[in-house]
Amino acid sequence: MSNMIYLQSSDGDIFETDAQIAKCSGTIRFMLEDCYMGEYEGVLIPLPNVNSAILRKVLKWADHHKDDPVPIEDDGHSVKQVSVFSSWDAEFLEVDQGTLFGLVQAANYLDIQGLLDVTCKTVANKISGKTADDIRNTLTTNQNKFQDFI
Amino acid sequence: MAETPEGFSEFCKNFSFLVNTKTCYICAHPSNNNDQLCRSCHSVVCCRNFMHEDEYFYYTFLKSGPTADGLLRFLRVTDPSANACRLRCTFVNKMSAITKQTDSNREHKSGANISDLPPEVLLHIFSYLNEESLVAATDVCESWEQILYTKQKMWKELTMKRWLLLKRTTEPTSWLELYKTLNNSSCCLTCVNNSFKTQQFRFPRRKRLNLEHQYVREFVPGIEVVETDDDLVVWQASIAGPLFRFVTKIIHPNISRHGDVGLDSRVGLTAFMRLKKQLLCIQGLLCEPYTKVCMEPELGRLYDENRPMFNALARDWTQKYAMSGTICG
Repeated sequence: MSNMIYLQSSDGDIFETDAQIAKCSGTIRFMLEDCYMGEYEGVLIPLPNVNSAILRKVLKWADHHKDDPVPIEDDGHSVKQVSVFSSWDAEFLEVDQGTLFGLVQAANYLDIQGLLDVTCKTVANKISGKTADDIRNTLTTNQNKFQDFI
Repeated sequence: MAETPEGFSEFCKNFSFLVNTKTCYICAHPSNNNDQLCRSCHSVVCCRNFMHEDEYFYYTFLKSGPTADGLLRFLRVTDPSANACRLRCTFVNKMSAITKQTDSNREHKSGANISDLPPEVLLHIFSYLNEESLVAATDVCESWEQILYTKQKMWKELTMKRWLLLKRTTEPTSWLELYKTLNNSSCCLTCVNNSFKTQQFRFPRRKRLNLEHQYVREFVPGIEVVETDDDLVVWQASIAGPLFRFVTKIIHPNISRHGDVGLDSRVGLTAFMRLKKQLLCIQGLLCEPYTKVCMEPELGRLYDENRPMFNALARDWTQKYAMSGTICG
């Protein structure tokens, strides 16, 4: 049984995707199961906070990780080790910083814990072991944004 | 309270050691993160030998960023030594990163900025950082500092873990502030950081340390000792009287700017003495400096020639660096 649904990005582009893949997102899962009561064949879900480029990346990530086991909830207080993640993820996240932060935002909005973890880890790796000045230089790519940032 | 000599505040404000303390004592290798370096750090931090000309060139080149001049020289260098190759790789990566960055600048309009991320996501990112990086993050911008300020419990734990003898009568308003003040007051942050890493020692030394540990735990008025690791290798001690910590900055002719105590010349402090005795010796020295042999000749001269000024300076430093436990917060 194919359970295709449609996702609309902020740019108006429409992406067709398998419901099972889209369900890695807590936000979409909630919508499908609670708002459409499980009868979601062919529905269109608008995602006004995610643009096309980011949504394409998110779907690519979700497709690759669709068979992953459900992660165990941790208490969120313990200091986590910055671990080495899979080479596919590492390659997937070799993007410019705008896209990376876009992915963090999207993962947060769509409630995709796995993606949020790897992207946050990537950002943490950029910050880790640097002085405040270096962090500022690393995270801001042009002068105007630098002013905003301060 | 002794009276304050004229020009005291001006003098205290401008006082600094003549030698630049941001470079290594021994090999003048610049410190990476603006921490002060001392002799003990040298073996850890500066173990790489920067004498090789090419390597040094790459190093400075990478630090200062690419220039046309440096690029020309880079192209001329052909030495295939392993380290040079490694650094060349770093260089190439760095160059490509710069190119990528310019690319991303062009596309930047569509991308998000780190300042767009909500606080809970930032906290998620910070949860992956270690202690040093967290401290650096608080200095990045005001909003980050405010976000990290909310993690008072974490800062409390970090403070208590690091400053074992810290006694507080009241809860400070900000543990983050206190943590930073204590960090600033340490003579050599690299040494303090290193003192929490476990080291392995052979049996006889362990046995002796165990003995000392038992002995020093017995009540000695005014002196307190606590070990920082399970192997009893690194200890923190506090001497009451004038309240001083080994790890805080101090103005004293017989104590170097990095906190090393130089008293073997006069009181014959040797490794054969009981630790209790050794600490008593230091306590004695604090009350009465010995200026004929000094760790800091500058201060020795000041002590001999202008005692009121020296006293004022010492009082000022004590208030600034050695009393955070009682004053700040």
